[in-house]
Amino acid sequence: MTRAEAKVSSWESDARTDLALLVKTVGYEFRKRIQFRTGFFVREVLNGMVQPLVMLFVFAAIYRSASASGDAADATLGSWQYSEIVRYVAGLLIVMKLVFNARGLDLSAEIFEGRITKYLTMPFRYFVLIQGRFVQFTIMQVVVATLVWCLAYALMGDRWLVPVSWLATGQALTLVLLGSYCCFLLTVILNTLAFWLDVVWSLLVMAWFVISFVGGAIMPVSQMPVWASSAFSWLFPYWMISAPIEILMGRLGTDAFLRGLAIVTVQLVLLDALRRFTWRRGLAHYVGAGM
Amino acid sequence: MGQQRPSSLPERLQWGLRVMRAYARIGWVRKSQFRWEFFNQVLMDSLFYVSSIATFTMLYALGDDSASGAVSLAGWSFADMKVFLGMTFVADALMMTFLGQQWHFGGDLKNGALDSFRVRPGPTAFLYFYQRFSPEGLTNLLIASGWLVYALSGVVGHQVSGWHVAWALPCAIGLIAFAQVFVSLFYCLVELWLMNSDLGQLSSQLFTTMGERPIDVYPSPMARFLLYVVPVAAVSWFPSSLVLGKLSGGFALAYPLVLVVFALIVVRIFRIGLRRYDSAMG
Repeated sequence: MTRAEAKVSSWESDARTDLALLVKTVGYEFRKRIQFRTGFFVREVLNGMVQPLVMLFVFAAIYRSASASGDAADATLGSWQYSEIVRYVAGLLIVMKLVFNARGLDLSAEIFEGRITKYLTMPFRYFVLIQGRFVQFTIMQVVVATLVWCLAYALMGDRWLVPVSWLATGQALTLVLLGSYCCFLLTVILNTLAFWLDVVWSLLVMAWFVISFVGGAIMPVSQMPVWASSAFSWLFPYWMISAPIEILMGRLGTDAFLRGLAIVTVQLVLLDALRRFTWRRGLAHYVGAGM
Repeated sequence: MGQQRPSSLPERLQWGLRVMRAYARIGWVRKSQFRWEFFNQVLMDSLFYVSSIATFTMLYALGDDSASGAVSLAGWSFADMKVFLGMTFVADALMMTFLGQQWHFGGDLKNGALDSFRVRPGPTAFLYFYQRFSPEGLTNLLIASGWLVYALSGVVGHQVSGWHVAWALPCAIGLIAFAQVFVSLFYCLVELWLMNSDLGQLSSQLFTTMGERPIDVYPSPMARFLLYVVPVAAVSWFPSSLVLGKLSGGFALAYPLVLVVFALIVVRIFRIGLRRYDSAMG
């Protein structure tokens, strides 16, 4: 092989390597983008839809067995007809998208790893940054929930949950967003326990269990026994999940909205006071390097 | 800091006591961390049990006001449902005890944390998935077993004989353990192709939630899907039905063979998927 031939061969080999690398990189970049978009779709659109849909099958079976004719539509259980349960579940799919969840915040990790130190030296309140996450989450989820509602309405028409009025929509949205802010504050409080504890995720999961159950994410609170529905109606999760859906359906009116507004506002103020207290005590405990 | 050194004896004593108190507090916090977390995790799963039991108690109570006077859930009475819930709790506790690492699979894959498991002398999946034994899960397994025994006491002598339960229960628990392993592995498969997409978590959440209800409540094609394609029915529905004597002999004998085939397919696909692993996939 002459020197010229060797040079050409080397150039061809380099070009083949570069081309192979380019093809692999393009494939890799495509994969990354597709994975990111799939992840976004899963997290923002599908998240929170499984439990209500599964419960719908359970309700259908229960209503069928309670009906003398064997048709779920004929039965009424705890003042709820089956068609109302279907619309309640439709409401759950929308409302649960708007409720702030613990995944939106990694404050405990920031505390464990001592990363909040840099924020404490800056001339602003750190809590404003965390509030920014809540606002971003809410804006994003309002858009997602609206799109899901429109899509479902286009497919299902009046069988889907259609608000009884614009006033009811405004009232329900107010309660859901205020309740979501209460959830956010509770999440912040539990995260700040990382100043004292090594692991807080189990507390967040427990809180979510309780919120789901007493809020009516599994079954309507007004369908529960009287003692349970009376007790739960004093807690913000009920006014964040079950009550707004009933307002949208026209089962609850403005008087209920005003009562809910008062209860949620009082609990929001209390949670914020508790959030300030735990943050202050936690910072006094903080040494800059986590636990 | 900034204070004068204690000079007098009482001041020194006081200073020493303060230091000792600080050490005691740090030691207390350090040593109680894991106990506190242990307690929290036991409480967390207990809350899951309580909320499940409360939900079905309330749903069945609705039947008291209904036209028929009592409701059943697609042929499952409240006593049957208690057994079903017991099996679900046992399956969940087994997963938490032995297979908790599955929740981290997507992240570990992305971060290339499987390297150390691939070079060890043993099956990668076995070494990886069983690495996180959980004593909290084991405690919950005891609680779940307690509920299952209580639930079974309500049906033994009425629906099924004690002898039936004596042979069916160990078979059912063994089947739960077997099915739980391969169903958990199945959820992780998708991450090998669509990493960082959360699809593994979503499929786990989707099918686990569906499996936590008797498959009889779903339309027939969906029930068959949960029996043969993603066999979450093997984790709770099949064992409960076996113990309650709801299955025909032929089906009870044949279905475990279906599970074996499922397990072989899952392991084969996992191995193929693992070849795609190149340490830095994120």
